[in-house]
Amino acid sequence: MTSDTPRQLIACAVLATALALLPIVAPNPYYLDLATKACLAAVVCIGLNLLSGYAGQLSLGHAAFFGVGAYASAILCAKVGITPVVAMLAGCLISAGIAYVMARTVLRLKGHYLAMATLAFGVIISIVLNREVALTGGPDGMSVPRFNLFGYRTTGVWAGYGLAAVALVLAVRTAIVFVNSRVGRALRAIGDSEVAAEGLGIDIARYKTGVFVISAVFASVAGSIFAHADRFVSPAEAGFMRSVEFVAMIVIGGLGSVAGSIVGATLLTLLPQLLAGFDHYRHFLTGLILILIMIFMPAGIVPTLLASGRALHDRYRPFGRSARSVTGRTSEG
Amino acid sequence: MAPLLDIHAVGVSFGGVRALDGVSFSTEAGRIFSIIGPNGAGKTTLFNVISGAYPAQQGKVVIAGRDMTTAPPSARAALGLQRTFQNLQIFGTMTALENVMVGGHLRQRTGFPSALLGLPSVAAESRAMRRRATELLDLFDLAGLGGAVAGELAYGQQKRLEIARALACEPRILLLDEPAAGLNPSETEDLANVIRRLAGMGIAVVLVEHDMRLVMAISDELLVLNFGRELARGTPAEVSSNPAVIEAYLGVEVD
Repeated sequence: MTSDTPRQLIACAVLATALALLPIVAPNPYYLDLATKACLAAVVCIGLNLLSGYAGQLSLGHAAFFGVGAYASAILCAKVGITPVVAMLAGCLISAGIAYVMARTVLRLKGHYLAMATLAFGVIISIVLNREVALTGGPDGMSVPRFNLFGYRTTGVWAGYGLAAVALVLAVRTAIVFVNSRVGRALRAIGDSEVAAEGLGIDIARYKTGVFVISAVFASVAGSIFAHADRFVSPAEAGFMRSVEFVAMIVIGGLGSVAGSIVGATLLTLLPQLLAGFDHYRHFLTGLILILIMIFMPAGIVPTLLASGRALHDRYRPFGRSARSVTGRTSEG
Repeated sequence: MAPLLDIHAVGVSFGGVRALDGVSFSTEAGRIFSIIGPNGAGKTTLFNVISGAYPAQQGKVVIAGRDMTTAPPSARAALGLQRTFQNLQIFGTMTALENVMVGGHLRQRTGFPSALLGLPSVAAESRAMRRRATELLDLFDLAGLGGAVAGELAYGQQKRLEIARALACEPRILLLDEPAAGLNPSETEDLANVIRRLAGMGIAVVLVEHDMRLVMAISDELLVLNFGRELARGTPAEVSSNPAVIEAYLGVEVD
């Protein structure tokens, strides 16, 4: 980590610069809106990747945590009149609480019970959001007040983008430091061999619970920002298909890769828009592209590219592989 | 002084099969205690009962004076018990260095809050652990391989890595499950020296091994299992002259 972490933090700074330059390079509300959605999806994916890519646990209900955050912000701001930052924190607490209770009950069991529980949780949240019309507006959704910080009001697409970009940079930095800590190593160990991890004194249930809560909070924060950026929320955002999309994003981008989370989220957010011109062939083409990526880059885009970069690097080095110091899935952050 | 590891009349059945039946032994710091016996004699089952992979149905497992019969593996590790695995369980996607760093999990303190906040102590702790892990890699002849992905190492290297990882948390009791399997004679000779050195450091080494020459050369005490029961126990000299052992087990080997 001594050599890796600073390099990764530089990557973080590059990302921040790129995000800051984007509105200047592309001062177009449509692009900014897409960039906002990509940033927020990336925040969800970074959290989800900590859970799935590192600790090896699948969640099929992460959109529900996104929904909890979005509706907590929407309802608390619009109906209760609470200030947005506090509403966002309340959403985090609710999401964390739900995740904690789910993990404590389900993670005592081995296997993919967490996937089943998250699937069920996602369905329940969808039903609640659709049926509690008085509170949520039902399938029609509800509008959300603007974000404001200490009375300073933000306006327009720019504000939503700014919030999303800041959230993404913070998420990346948090994830990089986290992954390279004792806790992150323990989680990766669990993902590789639970038997060995437990034998080394790692409390498996506690670590899985912790990372599940963290990933739920990442999704919740993204949901809250989304609500304010779009000024509107609907149950579709919390639906099962969205959860599957988040899983697809991290698989395509690369499990166990922070950069992969961003690439996957960006690709799957932009792809339907890029292919919009193909009309009804759009879905077919999206599917085809994803299948081709999975066939030719089964480890995901970022890990595959890094591996081939490493192979090229080794070929032009006299000492070859044994002298290399690249650390597999942590090195790219 | 109470023994460091005390196994008392342990019994385990799988369905109708009695895998372990009233097995007892105890061992002390700095001793090499070996468990031998034909395939299916219950050696690995005994290891799993000691390490907590599954609980003993009868009897007691006492570690450092504490009854840990029903405790999970992580609690036993906290008392200084470590093991290696017959079918290796290295962390295949992590680097060799990171494997050993995870080994030192119990010797580090960073928790979720400080890891999320990225406090300076987190990086400092990783640096210190990295130094210790590098030393352990050197000790096990893995110097220069710290950055290699552990799953891509050669078999013998992975075996040494597993022992290095187990040592990273400074265990008091180390269970080695067939460490010589798949090693050539000169590697086995190196292994014998490593095990002697571990015992010399005051670790209670418990060994399951098929390589009789290795076992006879390094063990202070032997337990011979047959069909889940104790067939004989004693020093290598006593065991190898025991008629029951010669008949049931060694007889085949000595010929």
